[in-house]
Amino acid sequence: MNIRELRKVYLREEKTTFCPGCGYEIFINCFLRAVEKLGKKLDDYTFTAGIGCSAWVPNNYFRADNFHTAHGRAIPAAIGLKSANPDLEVVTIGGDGDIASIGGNHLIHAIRKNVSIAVFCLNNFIYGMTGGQVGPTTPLKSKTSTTTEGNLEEPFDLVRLVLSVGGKHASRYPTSYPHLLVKGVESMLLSPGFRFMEVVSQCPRQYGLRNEIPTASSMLAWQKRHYVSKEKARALNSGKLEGRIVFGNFRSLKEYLGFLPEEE
Amino acid sequence: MQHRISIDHLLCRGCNLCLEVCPKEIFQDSAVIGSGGFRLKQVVSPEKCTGCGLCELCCPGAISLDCLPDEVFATILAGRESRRTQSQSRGGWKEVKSLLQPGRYFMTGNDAIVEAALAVGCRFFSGYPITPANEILEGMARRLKEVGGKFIQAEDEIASIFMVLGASWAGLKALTATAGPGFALMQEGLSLADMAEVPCVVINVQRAGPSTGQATRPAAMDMREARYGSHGGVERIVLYPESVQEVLDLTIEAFNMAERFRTPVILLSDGYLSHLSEKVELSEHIRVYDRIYVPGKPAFGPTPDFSAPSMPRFGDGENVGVTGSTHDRFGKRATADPSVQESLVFHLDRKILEHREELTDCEELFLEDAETAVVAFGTVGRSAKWAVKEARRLGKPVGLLRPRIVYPFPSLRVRELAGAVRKFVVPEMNQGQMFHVVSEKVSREVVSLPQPNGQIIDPRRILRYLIEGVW
Amino acid sequence: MQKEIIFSGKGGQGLGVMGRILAMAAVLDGKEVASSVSYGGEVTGGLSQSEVIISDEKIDFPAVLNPDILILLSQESYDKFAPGTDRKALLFCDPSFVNPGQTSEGLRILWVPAAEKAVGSFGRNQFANIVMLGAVVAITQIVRPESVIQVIIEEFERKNPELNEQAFGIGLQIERQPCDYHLCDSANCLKARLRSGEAPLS
Repeated sequence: MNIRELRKVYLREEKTTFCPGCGYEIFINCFLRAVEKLGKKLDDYTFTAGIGCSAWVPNNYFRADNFHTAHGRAIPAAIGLKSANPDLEVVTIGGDGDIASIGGNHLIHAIRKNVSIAVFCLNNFIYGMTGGQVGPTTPLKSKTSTTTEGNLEEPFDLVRLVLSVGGKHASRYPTSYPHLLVKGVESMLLSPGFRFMEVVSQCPRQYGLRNEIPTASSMLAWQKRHYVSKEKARALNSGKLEGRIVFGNFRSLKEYLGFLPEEE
Repeated sequence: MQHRISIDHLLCRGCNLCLEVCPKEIFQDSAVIGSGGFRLKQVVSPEKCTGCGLCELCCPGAISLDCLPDEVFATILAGRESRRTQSQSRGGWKEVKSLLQPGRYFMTGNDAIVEAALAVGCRFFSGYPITPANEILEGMARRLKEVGGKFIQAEDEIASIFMVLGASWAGLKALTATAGPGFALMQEGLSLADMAEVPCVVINVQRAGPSTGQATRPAAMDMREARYGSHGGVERIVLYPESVQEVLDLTIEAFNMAERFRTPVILLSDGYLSHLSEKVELSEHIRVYDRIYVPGKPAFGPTPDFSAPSMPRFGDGENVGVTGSTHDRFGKRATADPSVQESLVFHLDRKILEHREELTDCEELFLEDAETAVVAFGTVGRSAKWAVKEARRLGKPVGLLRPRIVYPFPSLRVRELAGAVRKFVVPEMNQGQMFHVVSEKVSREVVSLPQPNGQIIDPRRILRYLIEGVW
Repeated sequence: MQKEIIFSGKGGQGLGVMGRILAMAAVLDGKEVASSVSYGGEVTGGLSQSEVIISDEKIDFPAVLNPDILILLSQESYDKFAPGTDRKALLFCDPSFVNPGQTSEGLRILWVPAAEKAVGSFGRNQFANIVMLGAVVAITQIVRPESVIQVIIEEFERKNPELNEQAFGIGLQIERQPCDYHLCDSANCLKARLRSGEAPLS
């Protein structure tokens, strides 16, 4: 099926209410494509979500069992579902505020428990639905509605966070590489144990407009300048990475740290 | 191979990503400005298309690249609902055999909760350590393993309640147990349980507060929180037993009510009752209610007769969307529609209030000719019963009303009593929480006998009040 | 009939176990039973306390108001409870822990040298609580001894049921034995008077 057909089959509505150019549309498309490539149906999976734009992905649109919980609580609900019925394939879709701020404690404990769920953190660097406030992943100096002169707090590196508390499957994919994102989703859905993916996504309306990357295409171009796949990064020596963020799937903290500049 | 590309202008959002991502630059703005206020896109050189699919992966469904033949696609669409039809209707009353040998046992209030929960079919527990509820957590950890249930010690009480809600949608009867500080953390999840109609049972072993207060000491300081603590404040079923036997019986009732009315049920205990050991009798058979599921029926209220809606479990193939946002009967969010909001909230209230009669369960003593009615709940009921019996022996026309079901509050019975008695007296292990509830129901004199000192009330103190009017 | 019993002493003396065994034996006898325990820091002076109510009818108030039987195994316990105790109550005291010289007049005290008997029979006072329980059961007849033995066998399944049963037996015999203990005024022996019915049990 093409994407339009996949959306007709699997989404509750053909037309979504995401802002024009929203990266979550790319995630939806890539997710549906990955499910199809695995020979599965969307409702072979059950979903939990928190609150925010990210939660609308499964709850408003996915034609599958899904539980739209409270802000930050998608992971505990997923653990409840999965342990109560291990036959369910449980997927959690949350945002950066959802998973890494209000639900941050749930995230690290789910990793410790190694519950077999796949957690997608759709990271748009900002609280989109509530009007563009600073979040736990907002880059330094970024302008938001609560940091009008620029964010002064160091953002979380979510992949590093997950790996540092024992995660065995932590991946990061930007929406600017949809084909790679599809592969990343496939791997998320196939692997055992706790899996995590940070989906770096563009939010032109709330983040881009405030930070001089006001369109979806300029945000994707921004992503391409700032993110580099781990395969490409290997070919570069560390000096040439020039502060770019590595994406791909990482199995251990050691592997991931190899891509980071030496810390003083 | 030539690829066929088309654009549905109704779905185009004008984000221009297709122009950006296509390596062959086959998309362009046309001269036409559409209803969205942006230039409609057009395909200018389809022969250059390699079919890489980047355009459609970035597009909110407007671009079609190589459609399937109509009849093939129609078959796929038709097969979408196939799983639901394989599910069977289930639920309702049944009788099950007790897990333990029927007979006499000697157990604590906390142990009774564990045994009753297992007996009525609870197979999921998630909780976090807190005094004086720890033995429930430990008991469930040990006993659930023996019966093939699932136990999780969560990272906090917030996670505990949300795991319970998840497990409930997976089809299990689920329980958590806590005390004041943890109960406060659970209010967020309980509110979701109200809204999404998720059956579950929460035990609150009340201890003296506010805050950490006296962690090992009994109190009844969460009486109002149990009913009104959550945002939204819809009707709740709240039970408060007085003895270990009642803990056992009401825990079973709590699960049956949660399943029947598809609602969270709060069972209150306290720091005394939790560790009190008493003789209890276990019967051989237990009446158990399992949530009703009818394939294809809407999973949410409002129902025409204020009954609980059909509840599928995840995996039944209903593709149910569960949300704490305002939703229609099929779970579809309706967050701006005032009529959906109002009818849903009324449904949540009325599915309980319409059953108010059967949700009235009071122990009554000497009320036929009483001039003073003592209204007491839970453990205080034991003190009150002793005092009322003694006062009667001394010739005082007093009686006792002890609602086992605290909420919905037995307003009708209390109003009826108000026609016969002169005065209501409400002794409580708090500063007068239920006193206010009784007061607002009747126009008779209502006296508060508060004792928020972390001790059970000495019945001689109540007796002294009944005889001498001194508290 | 309703009997209220208090076991009080220091932590580690097995007060909770005594209360529990007595309560469970009463359940086997078909009685209504309520029992609660409080430990250490919760009670002033580091006292440990266990209370049991045994009744033929439903128990209205489950905590002890006027104890009929008190087993006091430390001086602090004695000092706490003895002054306010009803004169009809029976007090069981172990002279190893409670100083007989400081007891007040008019109380019905039964001196049971449980620790001494336990050390004599087992070489240590570990079973003193069960010896004491035997004496209490024999003298008050509040539960059937067979019920206690059944509870001991089940409760101590993995912890020396035989020795506990033996200790209980030693306690039971105290009731039958001549009161050779120096504290007993043989002419006015309370145990003998209780046995003969001359003194009422309550």
